[in-house]
Amino acid sequence: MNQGALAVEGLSKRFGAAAVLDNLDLAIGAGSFFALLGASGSGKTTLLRLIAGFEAPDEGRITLDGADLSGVPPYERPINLVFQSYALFPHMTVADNVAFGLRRDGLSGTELDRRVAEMLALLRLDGLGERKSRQISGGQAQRVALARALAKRPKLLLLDEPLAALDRGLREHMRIELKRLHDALGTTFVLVTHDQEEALALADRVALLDRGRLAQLGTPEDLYERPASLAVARFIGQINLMEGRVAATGETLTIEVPGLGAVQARSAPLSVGAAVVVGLRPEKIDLGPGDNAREATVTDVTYLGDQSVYRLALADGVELRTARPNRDGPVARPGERVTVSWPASASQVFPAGAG
Amino acid sequence: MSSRSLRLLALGLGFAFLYGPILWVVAFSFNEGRLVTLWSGFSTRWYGELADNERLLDAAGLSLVVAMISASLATMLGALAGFALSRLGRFRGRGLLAGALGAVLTLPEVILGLALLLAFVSVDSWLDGPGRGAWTIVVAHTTLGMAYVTLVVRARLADFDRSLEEAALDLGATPPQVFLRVTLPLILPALGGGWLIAFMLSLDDVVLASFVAGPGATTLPMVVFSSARLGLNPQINALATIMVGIGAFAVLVAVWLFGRQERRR
Repeated sequence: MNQGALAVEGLSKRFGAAAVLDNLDLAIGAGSFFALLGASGSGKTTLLRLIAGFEAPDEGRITLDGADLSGVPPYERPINLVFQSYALFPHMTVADNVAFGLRRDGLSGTELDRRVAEMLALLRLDGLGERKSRQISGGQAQRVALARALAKRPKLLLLDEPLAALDRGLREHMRIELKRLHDALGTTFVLVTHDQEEALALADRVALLDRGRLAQLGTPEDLYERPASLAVARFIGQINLMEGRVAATGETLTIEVPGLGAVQARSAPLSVGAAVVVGLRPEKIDLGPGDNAREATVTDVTYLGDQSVYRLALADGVELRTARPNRDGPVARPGERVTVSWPASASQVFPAGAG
Repeated sequence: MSSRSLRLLALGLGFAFLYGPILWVVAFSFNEGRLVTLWSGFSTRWYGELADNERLLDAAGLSLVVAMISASLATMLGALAGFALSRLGRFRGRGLLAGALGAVLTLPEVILGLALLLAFVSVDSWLDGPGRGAWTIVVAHTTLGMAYVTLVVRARLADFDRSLEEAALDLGATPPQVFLRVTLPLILPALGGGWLIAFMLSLDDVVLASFVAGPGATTLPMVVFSSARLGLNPQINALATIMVGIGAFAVLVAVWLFGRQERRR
């Protein structure tokens, strides 16, 4: 069952003068749940269309389980796609939509009926088979699109922003559903999304694309805790940024931040005097004494129900944001003086000016 | 006067303006007497006489045949032109094709009829050819109908969701299968609507037909027009009533087809 390993080698695609994909290399393991994450214009949709076979690359190639896909038309690739708009055939019933790909494979009669019923059951669509595809809800349409794409038992399933059109409650439900399907089928899932939360929550490996290049490839935790660049750190989650200069190296870096003085940060291969940006995730800041303790004034509190977000003014115009769960309501009021601190290991240091 | 009764009056006047003359024709097709301005009692005798009028019936038959053939040809050619204009991107002669089809829509029918007549006459003299007849009417009506069908098909393809075709490709359908199983069924209402428009255009055209028809090929509108000049005949009223019925039916079918297409989206 270990099929569906995709390799992208030196892939480039230009539209006019603009390079949408620039010499991209990527390996997607068989059976993994892989996310292609990027802002609009990052090239993720172009990569999806190249994998599906709707576009041809200018350079490089894509292989699936070692077989070169160059020149193979979409209808001969063992890859299926769940479209963002679902693209259900409006003139067909739900069952005919699911059967469409199977009929192209020459299936008919009881074997076809059995496979369609199997897919409808897998996606919990029993009893909806005879409905016209425009008579079902958005959540159901999503599941029909999944059933249709999975019916042909592809080696690799592409999902184009699968949860973008669903409302919040349904999205949570579909996430669990997608994980369940992935575990049950063992098919390689490739998720294409601009929503980092979706990528982090679903995928076991995430590739962050930035202007046609690979910005970072790793586990969700790698991207959040150990971003490869300032650009990655900014794209994934919230982060406080402070500019400074390396004052001393060693087990931790000592960084001189204007207004704050010397700050201890996680070690990085940088030399003394280098201009750097210190990144600090909001949830890693403590309100109370500890390492890197500083005095601050609460300037604003945003109440979000489960948590509150605090905006803190430190000396010399440095501003930090932190979030605290509302276990007993907000822990500080605007105008209050508080002590903030954070362990050196909580901060990330990037060379300034890069990204 | 209250604004409500004012509105009703305006509505009544509007409808009277639009449909009064037609209702008049329908009513007098059931008139006993020969005079078309004096009511002398209910009768269906003109329908009976119409049924015996060989000349009118032959013309009606020819009109129907010409309308069916030219509407079908116009639908095929118009669909091809619509696809070419909205799907093939920029190709050599694209502007010329779009412009030529637009010209057919905007040119006065008299000019179009004259141009077609000149074309037929020259072809005739070069080939020492077939002469004019019903086929020249078919060609003329196909030209006009095709321009309308192209318009309808282009409009339908402009808001056609291309991802449906990509989904079919992705699921293993070859390009010809994609066309037959996805594209064609989805644009079928537009093709049906286009066919109906071309059919109705052909059925009531008198200008083009008068220019290009050969001897002996006389369509129904040509007969109606020429007999109306010789004096009004109650048989024509009966014929007009039947045509209004057919036209109303066609419009209802067209509305139903387009309505179905709307709901699908």
